[in-house]
Amino acid sequence: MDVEFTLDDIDQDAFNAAEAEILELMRTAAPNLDARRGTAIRDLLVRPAAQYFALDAARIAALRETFSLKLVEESPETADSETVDNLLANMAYVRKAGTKARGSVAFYTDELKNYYIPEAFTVEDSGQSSYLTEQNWTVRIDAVADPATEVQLTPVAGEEGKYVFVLPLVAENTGSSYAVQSGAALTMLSAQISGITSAEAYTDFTGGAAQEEIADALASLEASLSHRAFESQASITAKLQQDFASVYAVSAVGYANAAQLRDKHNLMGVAVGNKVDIYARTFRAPYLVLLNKTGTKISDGVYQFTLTPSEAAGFYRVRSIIAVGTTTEGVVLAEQPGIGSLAFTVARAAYGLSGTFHDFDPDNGAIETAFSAWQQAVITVSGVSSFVEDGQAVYPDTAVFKTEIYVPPDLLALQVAVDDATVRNQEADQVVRGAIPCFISLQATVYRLQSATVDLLEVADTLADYINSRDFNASLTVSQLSAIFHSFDIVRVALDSKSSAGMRLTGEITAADGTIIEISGDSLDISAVASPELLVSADTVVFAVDLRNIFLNEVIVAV
Amino acid sequence: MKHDISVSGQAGKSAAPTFLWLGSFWTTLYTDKAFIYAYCKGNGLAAAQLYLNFLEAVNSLSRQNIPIFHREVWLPLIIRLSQQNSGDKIAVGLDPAVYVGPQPEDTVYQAKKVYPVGGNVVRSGFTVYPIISERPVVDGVSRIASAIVSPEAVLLKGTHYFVQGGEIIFREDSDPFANPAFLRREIHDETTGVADEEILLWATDALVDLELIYNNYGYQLAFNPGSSEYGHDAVNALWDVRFKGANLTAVRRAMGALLDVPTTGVEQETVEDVVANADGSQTVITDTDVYTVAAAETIREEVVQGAVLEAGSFLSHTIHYYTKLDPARFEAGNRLPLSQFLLDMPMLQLPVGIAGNGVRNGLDAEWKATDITYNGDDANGNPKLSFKLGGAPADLVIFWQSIWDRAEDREESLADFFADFLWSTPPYLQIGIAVGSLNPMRFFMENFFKYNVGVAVVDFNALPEYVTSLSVFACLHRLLPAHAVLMTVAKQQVSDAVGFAVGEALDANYGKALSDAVPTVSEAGLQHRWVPRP
Repeated sequence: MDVEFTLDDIDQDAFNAAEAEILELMRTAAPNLDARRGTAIRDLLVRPAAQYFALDAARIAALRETFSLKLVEESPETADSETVDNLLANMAYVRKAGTKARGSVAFYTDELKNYYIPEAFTVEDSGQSSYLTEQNWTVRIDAVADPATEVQLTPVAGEEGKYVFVLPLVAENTGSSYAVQSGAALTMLSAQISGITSAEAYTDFTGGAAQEEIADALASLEASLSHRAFESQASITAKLQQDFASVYAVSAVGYANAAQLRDKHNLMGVAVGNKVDIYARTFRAPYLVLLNKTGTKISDGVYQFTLTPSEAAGFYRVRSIIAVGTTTEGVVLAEQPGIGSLAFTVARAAYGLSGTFHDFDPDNGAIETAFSAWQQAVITVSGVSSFVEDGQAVYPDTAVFKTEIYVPPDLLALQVAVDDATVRNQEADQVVRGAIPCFISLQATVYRLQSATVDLLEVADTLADYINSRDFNASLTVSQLSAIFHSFDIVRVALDSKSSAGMRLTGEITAADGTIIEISGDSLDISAVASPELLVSADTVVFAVDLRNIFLNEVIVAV
Repeated sequence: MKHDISVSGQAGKSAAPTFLWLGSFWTTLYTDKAFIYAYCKGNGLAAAQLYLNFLEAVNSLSRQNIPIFHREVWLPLIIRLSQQNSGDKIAVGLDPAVYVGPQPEDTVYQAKKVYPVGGNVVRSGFTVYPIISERPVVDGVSRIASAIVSPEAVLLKGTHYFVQGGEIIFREDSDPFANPAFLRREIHDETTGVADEEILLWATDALVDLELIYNNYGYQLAFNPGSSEYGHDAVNALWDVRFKGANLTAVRRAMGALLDVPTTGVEQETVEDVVANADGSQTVITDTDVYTVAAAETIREEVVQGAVLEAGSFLSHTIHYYTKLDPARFEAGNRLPLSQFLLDMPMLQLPVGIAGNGVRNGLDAEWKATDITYNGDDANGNPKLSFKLGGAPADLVIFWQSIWDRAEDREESLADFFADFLWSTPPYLQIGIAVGSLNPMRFFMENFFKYNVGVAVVDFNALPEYVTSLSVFACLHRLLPAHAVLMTVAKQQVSDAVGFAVGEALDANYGKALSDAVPTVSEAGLQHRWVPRP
């Protein structure tokens, strides 16, 4: 905090005001005082006194400013990050530090041998963003004994003498700009390891977010100023945000809320209260997990597997499914990134209702357990290719599928925390659900002068951070986004969505029954498409955007 | 005002101590002692203001002690001749206030005359100037002097002028521009080229609104009730609820503070005296505090000398807060009889989130015996029963059909469900006949609203003028248990001069009249309006 004011910080206006005030006050005792410039009293007494008077006044004003979060935020002199964090600490609030994007990288080699990959082994994408390993890894050509530290080296299908292993990596820094996509070539920055020829992103890197902005912290601060208990909207938010760094926003859907279905389990279907669904936003950018799932053949080219809560608790939707091999052959990277997803269907259902005290209606189980720790789904994949064996097209009994799924991180842990007998609310039945993302897609054309420099990636980044930091019950409008565009050196951005260059803002929400609700226009209002019987309402949905779904075109204008 | 900070001792008012500290050379030998004394005094006054600012900063650290206004010992105010009788407001703190608009009669302002809406009188007897100051002066200017130094003219608040809404209103013969003791200064606007005159007035003890309460303690809660005693108490009450949880006392105190209704503190209090005041208000003196029940409010019967009031008690009938709606044990749960509740709540509203069954606009239930009607049998041979509720016809169809469908799916009989209210057992022979009787409001209170529902009924006519809506309760909803609900009802006497059709939007705070059963607002009399939960 920089409130170390010195005489150098006093401007002429402040000095003049102080001098005038002292002179005027002196005249209370000596009305005929000669205090013109050049007189001893003016130059030797009044003016030095005015300097210190102005200095003390400035110090007290600065001191007062540092007590007020509002004034600190408004004042460029005191609005440094440390001051803000100090003030927030007084209110029991710690700003979210930001998260690093995570994903997997495939390393290719032409030497069949064991490898040792050290911690902080670094690769870089074309945008010069770095990703690194978080621990030491051993790559083995024989059986893996300890999956926590070892991975398997496997042959690449169709490429004799070429092998691959896949490691989890993490972005070097926080921020949504670390978003390399699967298939992108990566450069190894660390000392070359003999035999490793190339690297590429095996999955998309997701989950990166910047440190929480002051304005965003203020939205959460209001809840932080509360006792911590699983009771009210404010106290539940405060409790979860205290215990889980990943909780960005919370919406408690309780009594008298149309999206609360579980308190109407009586013959009249009228709400009786005591049930609360806690929707937690535990992600900024949409968060993907990668599972290699083994499917069982239903018919030729059609396979089925089940997603359980322990694998993908509260998942929203499956993004893509790619067949990567069969269990008889081992996991083989037969498919190259870039290939589209296989066709699939998702049948949601309730899971483990007999083992919980939480009240779900089994007859409406798929919907009442949606996005919670009691949701499972049966995935049916179709269009899977056969392989040829002895001249015959063969569909093996089982096949492995690389499955990308949008999930809310930490959902199981959150439910465990809410059910913990040491903090659990005795009166209320509280179920945690992942905040339902409204997946945003944004297309815009920006106009800049030839002399101006605009980094479109940075613009997209800023837009993504803004969208991904919205709370529940928020709106998302073209005019809000327009303001962000104009914080860059952009002449204009076309807003008319009817013109080909106009800004297009669309969103997709997966409802509790799996149906897709689309929303578009200049202002995305969740209330307008609310379907509380399918858990979709402004209290349950948040906006989320993947950087890849922001499409910006650039037009250079002469004037 | 209890949150003011006073300058202690004589530090700011006398230069004598400072002068003496200079030593005997300056105080006795030096020939121009007055010269030095003036210097000491000037510095002393300046230091006093600094000290005041410092204390203000220190007190800002406490939400209880934070001053409402910043105080300036001496504050220069400028008025300009060209702005005489201009500005946004011309109210002068007189009763009645003057209204702005076309004036059909009486073109000269007359004290005590009630002007119709649309008054625009010629002001006489006072002169208004907008105050030109770097800081927004709100009030508290006790004196205005022509100069700090031996002023030739001093004006007194109340006697010669008022300060209101950033304007200063001088009474007759007190206009500084008519008084040569106030030195005019000619100014020239470089932009417009217009010559003007201005006078610099020195105001003492000026209160300046720096939004101290909002900036320090309201901002975090996104709540700005303004700078006033009311705002101070309301912000503090909200912080109390946050830190202490939504216990009954804290919630009652918060409601009282948000609506500025006198409410006892966090401890039990004994009434020592109740004093009737000339203006119709009553002062309630307890062993720990003093409260004022405004003239528009009705003091509670139990507030009498010697009465012991539990913590968080409302002293007036302006707020009735019901938290236990079990008709069988009503008074024990609420300290108010069921009969009072029925006066406050002629009917019970079932908002969409409670009515369930896919209704779109909510339903109403009256406290009145009504028939249970037979509507035929379902596929299982069980009777489809219904009773009268208020609401949109489409909603009523959806509501009952959903219940019949659910009973059919579950193979349960509504005859069993309503067995206590039926005159006879099925089978029933004729569709549309009454087969029993039931009080819908009582039925819902007993079966669905018994617990988890709090109802706050607010007498809107008794609220102070600066509390213009019940939207302030929005701050409370996030603090109350999520598995329960607070319903708010505004009770208001409405003049027949104001007309709204049933179902039309009333205003932003009240949304819509929710059913035909609600008395129309165009009728004179007592109105009950549900305030939608934000």
